[in-house]
Amino acid sequence: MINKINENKEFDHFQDLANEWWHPEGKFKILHTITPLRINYIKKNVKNYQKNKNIKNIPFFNLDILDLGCGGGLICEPLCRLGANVTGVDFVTKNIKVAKQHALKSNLDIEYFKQDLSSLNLKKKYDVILLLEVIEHLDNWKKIITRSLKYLKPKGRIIFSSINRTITSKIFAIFLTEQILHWIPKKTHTYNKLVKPEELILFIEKNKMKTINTTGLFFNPITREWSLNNKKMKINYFCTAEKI
Amino acid sequence: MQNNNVDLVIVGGGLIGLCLSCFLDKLGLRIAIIDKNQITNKKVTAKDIRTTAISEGSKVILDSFGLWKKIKIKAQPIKNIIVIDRNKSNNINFTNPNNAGYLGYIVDNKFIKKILLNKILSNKNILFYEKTEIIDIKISNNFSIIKTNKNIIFSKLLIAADGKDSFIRKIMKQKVYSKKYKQSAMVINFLHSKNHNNTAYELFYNSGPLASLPALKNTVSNRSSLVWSHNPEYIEHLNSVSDSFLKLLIDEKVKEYLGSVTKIVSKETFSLAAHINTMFGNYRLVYVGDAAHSLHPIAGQGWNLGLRDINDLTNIIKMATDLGLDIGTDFVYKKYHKMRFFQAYSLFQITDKLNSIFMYENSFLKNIRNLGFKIIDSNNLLKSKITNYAMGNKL
Repeated sequence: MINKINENKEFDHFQDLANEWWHPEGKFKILHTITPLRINYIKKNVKNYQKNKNIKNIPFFNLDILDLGCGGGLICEPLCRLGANVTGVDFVTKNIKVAKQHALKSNLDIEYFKQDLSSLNLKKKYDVILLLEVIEHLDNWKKIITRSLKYLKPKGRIIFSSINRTITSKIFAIFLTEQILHWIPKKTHTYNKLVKPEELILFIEKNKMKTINTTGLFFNPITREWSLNNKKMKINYFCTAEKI
Repeated sequence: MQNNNVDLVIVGGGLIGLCLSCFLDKLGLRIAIIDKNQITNKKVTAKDIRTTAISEGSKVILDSFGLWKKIKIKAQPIKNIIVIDRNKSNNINFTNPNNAGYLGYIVDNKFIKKILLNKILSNKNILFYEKTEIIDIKISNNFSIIKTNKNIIFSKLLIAADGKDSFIRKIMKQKVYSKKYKQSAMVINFLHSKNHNNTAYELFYNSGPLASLPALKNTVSNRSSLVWSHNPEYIEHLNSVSDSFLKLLIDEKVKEYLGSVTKIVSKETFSLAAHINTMFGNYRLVYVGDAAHSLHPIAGQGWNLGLRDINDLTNIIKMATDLGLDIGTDFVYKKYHKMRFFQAYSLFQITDKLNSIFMYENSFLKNIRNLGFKIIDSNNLLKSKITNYAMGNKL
């Protein structure tokens, strides 16, 4: 029962924000800012695995990618431009509507489904599954990861990005960014729901996965620039694992 | 709508706009070029008497896109630049610090245009809208929407390459810092009796600078072009006098370097002004070349600065397409502004101050100039730094 209430809260939170996804200066501005880094991380960690030779500007040619918790499609669209067959899934109806409309305007062929991640039901398996900024919003992230892994091809890769559960992240990622800087809407994150990278790794390695890479996402307050840095994982982090 | 949906629109089919579309060639983007004139018409192109001073740095850029080997054929190299203040003993002779190299090249605009057009017209990804006028522009969340007298074009990114009086800048109400000079300039292409020895001369007078640029020798005659800056009334007079009188006036200035003038080939006047946009880009819009900045021609750097704009812009757009990003968003225009504005602003100020230093006829500035000339001419390190700067190399 408690779980249900929490999930509804998450639902309402994102439902209210759905129209904001593609406003570059809107409530999701921070996601727009870090999109280049996220794509860069995905490129780096998918490349090694890929058998297809790069076709000029289409590095993800024919790669099947599943973006779980795709929101308005901020990541789906660049991946599609890079040649991937992209499927985006989100549990907020309005997000899927916004994502579909935007893909049409961008002239991109992306498959979007409205589904609840806990009862995920798809027809095919994927080379790459993305769970970007998702697990920290879930009440039972373990259950959802187990379910998602069913749709990963052998040797396929899953890529996570999330927020660490540390004092630093409590101060910076929740207090400063939500309450003081208003970079992200209030109540986006709840401290107790955050997942430590070591917890995540411990869990996925029990599920026939091999960790390939972990990297931090670091904001330099002086240059005001974001960068990938494998030593700074106290706040935001990425993690890639391969199915054995 | 499908047909008029492109990745980027370049407004302005001048050298900068055409070069940019050649630079972007390999990225596989769908490009539309819009120009109000019929630039593919040979009669229209033939009227263009202007020449472009290509710095050594610009040559390197053109070479990296495979364009230089074609332009080179008709490029007049500059081996020396001799700068002379009123009094002839005040002079500096600049040469390339690497002995083998040149300082720059002078090429006819119509020749460069021909090479660029050949390349562009054979590219199916580039749509060419000539004799097309822009009526209005709307920037939406997803597109720059360009309404012309012929059609409506939807584009991810709009590039304004429409010159120093940029129409787009006006529609978009882009603010500028500007400077008006009480100077006009006249460009005169002429033939003369003595060989120019691949040398450019820059003569400073209190009325304004006068530059003589060597042009490629045609079959029999020595050719040069003169850029003469003076007060507007004087330039107006120059424009109305007979060719034989104009010959005498030019002789007086440059006879000892170039011999006597044998023929005036063409002349053109324009008023001098300089400006720089407060922003080089906004959401789904960037300004390049003279649409972003125009300089006093004293150092001949305007076009070269524009070429560096489009070189950097090309690299940024490539970074964006490598990540599959929408090229109209802040990743492109913010990076571009950050990369280009400061360099353009410094050059805007330097050329402006240089002009004032040489204009004023007071004894204090005169002594400073004399001292400056001596210091620069006797100090090889300083001289090569200045030369490198003028060549468009990084310091």
